[in-house]
Amino acid sequence: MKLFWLALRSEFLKSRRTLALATTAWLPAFIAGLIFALFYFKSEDFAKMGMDPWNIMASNVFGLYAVLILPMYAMVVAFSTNQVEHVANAWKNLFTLPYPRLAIYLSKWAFAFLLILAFSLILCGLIFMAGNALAILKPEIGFQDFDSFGLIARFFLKFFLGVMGVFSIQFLLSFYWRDFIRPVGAGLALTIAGAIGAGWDYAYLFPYAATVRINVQYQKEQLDLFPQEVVVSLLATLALFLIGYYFVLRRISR
Amino acid sequence: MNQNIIETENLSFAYSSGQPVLHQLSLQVKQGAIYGFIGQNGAGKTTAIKVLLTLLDRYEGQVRAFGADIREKRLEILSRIGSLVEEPGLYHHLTGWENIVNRALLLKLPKSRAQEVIRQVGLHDARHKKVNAYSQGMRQRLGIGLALLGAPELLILDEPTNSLDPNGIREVRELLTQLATNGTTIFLSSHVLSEVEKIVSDIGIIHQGRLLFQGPIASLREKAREEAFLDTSDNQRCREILEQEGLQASQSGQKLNLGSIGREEASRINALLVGQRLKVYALEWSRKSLEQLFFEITNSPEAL
Repeated sequence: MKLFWLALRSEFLKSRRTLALATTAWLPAFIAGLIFALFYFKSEDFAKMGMDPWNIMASNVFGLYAVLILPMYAMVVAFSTNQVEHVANAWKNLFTLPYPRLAIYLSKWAFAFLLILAFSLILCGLIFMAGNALAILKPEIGFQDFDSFGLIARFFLKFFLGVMGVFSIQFLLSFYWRDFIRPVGAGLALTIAGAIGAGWDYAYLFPYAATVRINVQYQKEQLDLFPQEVVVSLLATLALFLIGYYFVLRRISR
Repeated sequence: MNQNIIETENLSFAYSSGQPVLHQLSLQVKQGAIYGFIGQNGAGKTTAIKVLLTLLDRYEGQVRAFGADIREKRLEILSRIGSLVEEPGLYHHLTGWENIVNRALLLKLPKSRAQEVIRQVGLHDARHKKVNAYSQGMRQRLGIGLALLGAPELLILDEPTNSLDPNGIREVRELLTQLATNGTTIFLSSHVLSEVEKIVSDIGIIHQGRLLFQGPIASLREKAREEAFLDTSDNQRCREILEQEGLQASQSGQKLNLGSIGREEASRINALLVGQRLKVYALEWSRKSLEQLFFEITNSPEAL
C-alpha cells in the first residue's frame, strides 16, 4: 500500500506542465467564467423569466458538458497520463523498479481518476460560487430565492460516475496505443456515436451515451444516482481495469 | 568475492513471433566484476538484459540473481539493481532535477542523495534545465544517474556510452571503475569492444543469441596470438628472399607480417636479411587487437 501511495505521488510530480493538469485547472474556470458573464451581462433577461436561475444555469452548462466537454476531458486525461510514459519510453523503467506491477498500473489509473474527480468538483464548486456571487451582484435574477444547488451537485456526481466507462475504455486504448490519433480518434468517433444514438432503447449499454442520457435525466428530474447507464459504466470500469492489468502482464511476457 | 551475482543456465528466449533470440545462454557474472557483454547489434544483448530485469518472463532455463530465482524474488532482486536499458526513460517536460527527485521519491531516498548523484554525473549546473533542452550526452548521463541513485549492488547498463563524445565516454569509464572499486558489480553491454576493454574484468561475447566466449578479459587477450612484423629498406625483395628460404610473409600495411615466429627464428631472419644488404628498420611483435579477435570470433566461432 505504501508503494502505491509513493507511485501516486510520483504521478503528481510527473504531471507538472502536462495538458491534463493544466486542463483540470483552467477549463472549469473558463466554463464557470463564461456562464457567470452570461448571467451578469444578461441579468435583465434572466430576471424576466421568473424561473429557478440555478436550473437555467445548470441546463446551460450540462448541455455541452454532457455531450462533449466531460467525455473529451476524460479522453485527454487518459491519453496524457499514458503518453507521459510512452514519450519518455519509460514503461520499462517503471517495471524495473522494485514495485509490484499492480501498484504501478493502479497508481497511474488512480491519478487519472482523481484528476477527473477534481475536474468535476472544481466545476461544481465554481458554479456554486458563480451563483452565489450573482445573488449578491445581481439580486434581481433571484439566485438567493432558490435552493436547488443540491440537485445540481447530485447530477455532477452522476455525470462523474457515468463518464467512468468512457474513461476506462480510453485509458486502455491510450495504454495500448502509443500515438494520439488512434485512441483519441476512436474516442471522438464513439462519442459522436453516443450522442447520436443516446435515445436508442439499448443505448444504456453503450458507455459513450451515458453522459448524454444523464443530461436527459436532469431535464426530467430523474434523481436516481445509479440508473442503468451508471451501473453499466461502473461494471465496464471494473472489467476494463482488469483487462488493462492483463495487458500489463502481457507486455512483460511478449 | 567469487559468488555469482548473475547466473543463467541454458537461457533461451523467443519473442511471440516465434523467432528465437537467445539460445541456451549460460552467463556467470561474479561479484565485484565489471562484465562486458559484447555483441553486434541484434545479437541478443538487450533481450538478455530485459530477461535479467524481469521485463520478459516467457523464457526457458534458469535465471538467478544474488543466488535467487528472479521469478520468485523479483522485488527483492530489483531493489538491489540499478539499470539503464536502451535509451534512458526520461520525462522531457521535467527538469533534470525533477527527474532525479521523482526517482528518489519512488526509491524512498532523501533529496540529499539526489544532489549527490546529480553532481556525480556532472549535471549539477544544468539541473534546472528541462530535459528536452539537454544534449544526447547529458540525457545519457542523467540516465546513468537514475540507475546509480539507489546505490545498487548490481548495475546493469545497456550501451551506456551511446551518444557520448570521447570525453563523456572517458568520464563514464572512470565512474564505472570507481564504482567497481567500491564493490558494485557492473554488467554492461556494448557493440564496441574497444570502448569497454579498458575497464572490464570479464567478458562475454554473444553472437546471434549464442554465447561464444566467456571469461576473464586476460584469457581473451591470451587468445590473441603474438605476431612478428618486419619493416626493411625493400620489402618486396625481402619477401622474395624469405620465400626462397621457405618462409611466408604477407603485406600488412607498410610492414610484412611474419606470423607467429619465435625470437630465435626472428634473429636468423634478421641475420639473413642483413647478409643480403637489406636494412632492417623494425622487427617487432604485436598482438591482434581484441577488436580484431572479436570480429574473428563472431565471423568464425571455431577460431576459438
